[in-house]
Amino acid sequence: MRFKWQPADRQATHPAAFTLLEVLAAVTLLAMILVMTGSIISSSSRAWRQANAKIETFQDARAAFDVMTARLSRATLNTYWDYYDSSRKPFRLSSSPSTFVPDQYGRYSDLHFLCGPASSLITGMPPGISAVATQAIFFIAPTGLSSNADYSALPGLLSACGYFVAFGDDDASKPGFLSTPSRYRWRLMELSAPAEKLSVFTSSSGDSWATTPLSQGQVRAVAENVIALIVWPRLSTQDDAAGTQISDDYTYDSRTADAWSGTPPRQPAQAHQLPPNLQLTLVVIDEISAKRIDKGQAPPAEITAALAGLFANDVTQYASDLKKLQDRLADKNIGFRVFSTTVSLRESKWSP
Amino acid sequence: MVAMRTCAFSLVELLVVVAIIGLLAVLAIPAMNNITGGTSMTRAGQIVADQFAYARQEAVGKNREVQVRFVWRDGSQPGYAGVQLWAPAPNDVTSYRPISRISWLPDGTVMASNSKMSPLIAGASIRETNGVFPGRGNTKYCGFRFRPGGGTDLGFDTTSNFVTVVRDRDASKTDVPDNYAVIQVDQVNGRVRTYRP
Repeated sequence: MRFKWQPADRQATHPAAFTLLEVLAAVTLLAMILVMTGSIISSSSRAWRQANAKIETFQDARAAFDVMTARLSRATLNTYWDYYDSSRKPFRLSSSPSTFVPDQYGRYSDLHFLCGPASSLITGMPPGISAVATQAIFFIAPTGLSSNADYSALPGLLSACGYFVAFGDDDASKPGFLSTPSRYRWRLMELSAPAEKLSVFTSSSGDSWATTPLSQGQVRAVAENVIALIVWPRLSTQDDAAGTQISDDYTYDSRTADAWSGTPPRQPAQAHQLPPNLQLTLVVIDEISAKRIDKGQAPPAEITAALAGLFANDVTQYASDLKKLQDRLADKNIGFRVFSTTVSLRESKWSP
Repeated sequence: MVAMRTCAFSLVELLVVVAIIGLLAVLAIPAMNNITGGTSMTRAGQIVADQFAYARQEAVGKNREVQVRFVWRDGSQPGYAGVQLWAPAPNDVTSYRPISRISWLPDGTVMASNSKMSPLIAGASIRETNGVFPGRGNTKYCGFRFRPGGGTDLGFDTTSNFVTVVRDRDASKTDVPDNYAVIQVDQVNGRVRTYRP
């Protein structure tokens, strides 16, 4: 038996079979095809995973942004009018002397609202947190949050709330039996102390009602990979286009120590009242970039460098600071997204 | 005769080839099983996490309490293997109705129900009870609630608000299996996180 293509003279010595060369060529071709399909599959699956991770990060951040704006809009101070004496001390304090002589009417509130640079507001770090960045905000809102089941039917209970951006591990919130390695990330953190621990009424000055539960670790992560939170208290843009009338350095303190001024003397504008609007900005990076710049326990230098000197104490620089941050992140090839909104505080009855 | 012998496969050659194919198949099948097990575990984790996120969204968006019910599945390995959301009817807040179909976990996966692996089920705020499920009749379930603010009615300790999906043969074990999906929910802001080994 003989194939037509076989030369007649080779038939006897060379029976019909593949030569080594032919087999080698076939195997090489097969290997090449396999490698090609393999690389196509792996690159497309990587692309899919990356896109998915990106979507998930930003979904998480958007949901957190909704939670945050909803809670912030319910911030309350419960301001009332009180007598003040000539040394500008309010009447309704346990420390008021029996010889109190009223001099002026003024706003007063037992509660507190403050925001400003996180590094100066947060003095004792919560466990597991090693750095904070940009701004922090602390306020009191009717959350009904309680660790006691008997109080769970009281949805109007006031509790200490706050938001800030911090770098640290997730050990405090990880499910009990998991032994996965600690995950160090920048996160949007929420202060949520139970209502029965609210200590704002024990002192009429200072912010220990917020800093004490904070340093005790009554915080929880709301979203991962948030690197900046900018809180800008301001009037509506129609009333105050530059946004400097309420605060020109991002700080706001309803227990301000500023003196009364003018004739007749007027309280400082921030005293015992809520700002009407807060312009909130979140900068979120994607998980792929976060993983790439991950340095374990130390905050990634890329983020620290990108935030250096920005959003410090001049609201008029807001737009240019944001542009700088975007340029620096883009330079480092870090994927990011900026979320921004203006929250109206429902309880605010602003009078300048 | 020479041509015939060289141009065909002998029985021995065929047997060798078949044996090699068989060997490869034997090696490949456990690996394939592992891969399908892994994907069904991922899918199971996603199903539970999606239902939690959906419940939270319903609670916030429609300003009503939403119950997350874990539904019991009988079978070779009985256990909680379904999730369904229930909410008050718009015209009668005292009667709860399902707002989604029961989402069943893929075959071979089940939610562990011991207190170490799934404290959220072992200490559920809706305690284990029987109820009538449309299309299923009387079935055992337990669960918890999402509040209109986006939080839940779970205990204050985040580290114990999670369920673990395991392969059904690991369902009754309390030591950590090599494949699992942990779905954690934050009781204050309702954030859902998934952990895979």
